[in-house]
Amino acid sequence: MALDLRPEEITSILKKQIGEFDGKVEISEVGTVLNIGDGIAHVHGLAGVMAGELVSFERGGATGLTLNLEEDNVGVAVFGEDSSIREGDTVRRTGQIASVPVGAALAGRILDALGRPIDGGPALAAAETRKIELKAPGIIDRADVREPLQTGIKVIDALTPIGRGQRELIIGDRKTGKTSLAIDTIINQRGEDVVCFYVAIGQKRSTVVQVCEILKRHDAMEYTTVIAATASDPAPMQFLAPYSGCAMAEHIRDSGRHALIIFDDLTKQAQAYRQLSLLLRRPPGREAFPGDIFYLHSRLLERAAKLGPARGGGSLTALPIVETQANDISAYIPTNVISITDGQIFLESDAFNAGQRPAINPGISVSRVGGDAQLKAMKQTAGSLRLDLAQYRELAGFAQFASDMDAATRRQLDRGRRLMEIMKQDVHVTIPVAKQVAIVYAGTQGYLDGIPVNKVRELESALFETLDREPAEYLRLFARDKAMTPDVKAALEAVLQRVAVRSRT
Amino acid sequence: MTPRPKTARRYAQALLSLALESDSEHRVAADMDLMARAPAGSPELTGFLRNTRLPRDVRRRTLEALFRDRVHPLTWKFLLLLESKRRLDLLPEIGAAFRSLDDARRGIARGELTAAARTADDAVNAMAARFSALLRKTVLLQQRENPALLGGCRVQVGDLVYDYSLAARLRLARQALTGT
Repeated sequence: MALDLRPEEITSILKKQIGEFDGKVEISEVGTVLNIGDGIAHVHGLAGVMAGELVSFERGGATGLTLNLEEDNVGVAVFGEDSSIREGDTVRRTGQIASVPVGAALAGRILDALGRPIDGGPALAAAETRKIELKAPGIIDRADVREPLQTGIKVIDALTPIGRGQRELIIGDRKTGKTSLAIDTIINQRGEDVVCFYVAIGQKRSTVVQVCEILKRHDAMEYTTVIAATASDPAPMQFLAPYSGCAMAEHIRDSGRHALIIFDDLTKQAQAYRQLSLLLRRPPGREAFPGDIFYLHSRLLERAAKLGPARGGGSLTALPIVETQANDISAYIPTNVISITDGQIFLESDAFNAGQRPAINPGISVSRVGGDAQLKAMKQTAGSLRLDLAQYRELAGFAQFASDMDAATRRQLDRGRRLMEIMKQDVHVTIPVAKQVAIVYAGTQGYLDGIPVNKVRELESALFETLDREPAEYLRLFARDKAMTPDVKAALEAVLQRVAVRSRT
Repeated sequence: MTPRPKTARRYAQALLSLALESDSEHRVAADMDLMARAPAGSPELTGFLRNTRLPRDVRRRTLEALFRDRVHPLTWKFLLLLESKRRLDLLPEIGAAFRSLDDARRGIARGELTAAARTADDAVNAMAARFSALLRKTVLLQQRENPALLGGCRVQVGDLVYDYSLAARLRLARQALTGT
């Protein structure tokens, strides 16, 4: 259809408009603060404001996010310092939905929940921004999770493998090594094509500094962005930080690359949201959490996805962390997040204190989709590992009371003890998958059975050293086949024979 | 005390519809205007309205002396109702709510014109006429002074602010230059 607009007409319209507006005018919609406190302001006016819109406070220059739209007032969560805001102050609409900068400029930076640098570095030169709250990709856009995301941790890669696009929960009491697992996963992405995001929610500032130092020391900071809303930040920032981080990571996913995001931890975010909701006078439910606490986490974690080829094939893997009290995974937030995620890695303080580190309980840790994504070689090797460990756990409890056992039982216990030993791993020392397969193969095929339990780890390091030092056929073949073909098996067994013989003498 | 706008609005709505039925809305509106303004100027009146411990007959007699002969019979009945419900303290809020309801009915929008210095009345009226045309409502502007605007003027009607002031232009220029 031809557009029927004559130039004279446009001119006359413009003339009329100029006649109506002499001079430059700024039209804005305002409201006044009714009350302010604890990071929440109730505002009168702002009749046309959208839910989730950013508003700016005239005094102090703080911004806020509208959360409650009520008949005669608007509930606003204030970002930043709220002590300078007074009753009766003017609040202005910005017309913008909260968004954060995205793109390559973020790598290596430490940002706050609104994407502003807090590492003392230069301003972000990000050309693009992205809305903080976006809907997760639809069903058509997605593909199966089938590429592995190697964590570099033996027990995870062998028993609860994580695929790209998966959501795997890390859950456990305080001081059980949850954060270390997550950091090790980031460290292991060095040299891979995965961009990492670490969202620290409600943590001590000193902890965040520590994490950044560890990442720097392992040269992992250059492909990692840290989003920090620490315990001293207001609750709205802690509530928002995971969404900001997710928006940044989604940009990587949607540009066809792979991203990993760690939410450390969602318990704190839920608590921050509970605080917000109670101050906004939303009705409390179980444990005083608001009714939409499930949706808070489900809409966040749904954004982790493996996209299909039509959408570029990118992926976003999420590793949310949840802290339990006294190993109680049936509390409200843990059950919620367990039911949302595609599996969980359960850490126990008893195992941790007994020296079994990482303190993963292989019995109740599962990965619901990672099996498809596991490397074929690992799948072939670790298949019997899970069974052996399960049998060991069953027998170990029983064997404490038994005085004498038959030979078969004793053999199984011995095997189990050695397998538990090879599941141990030092913190921040990640192991490439070829070596992981080698040691797991040694364990399940009985190469360790003759070795005293306390010598198993020595043998492991001897094995890894041999693989590093000698121009081993095994590593070359493994890189070629990525499966336990007869060639690979033969090459590995040759190495194992030599190492085992050497360590016996 | 927390504001109770919903309660006030309900009373105001009821009074307005009664006034409309009896064609006395202008008289009642003037009365309610008085009710909205009077307590602000007199702390004693505010104290009286809020005091629910006075014996009922004292309250009623005081009300009679104060308002009986000055207001429309409908307003007087309304005051008696408020007294019996112990809601007299809501009176200023009901007055304000009544005015906004009446304004909405008559298509009136009240606003403020803030300028750095005193503005001539006909300039204010001219602005009001412009805005009446722009918003398709009868705009009534009240004048205010605020030297912080430096020059020009700012018009607020409802929640909307039209800022023609020098201060706003300087702020816009600063935002454009610094990109913040």
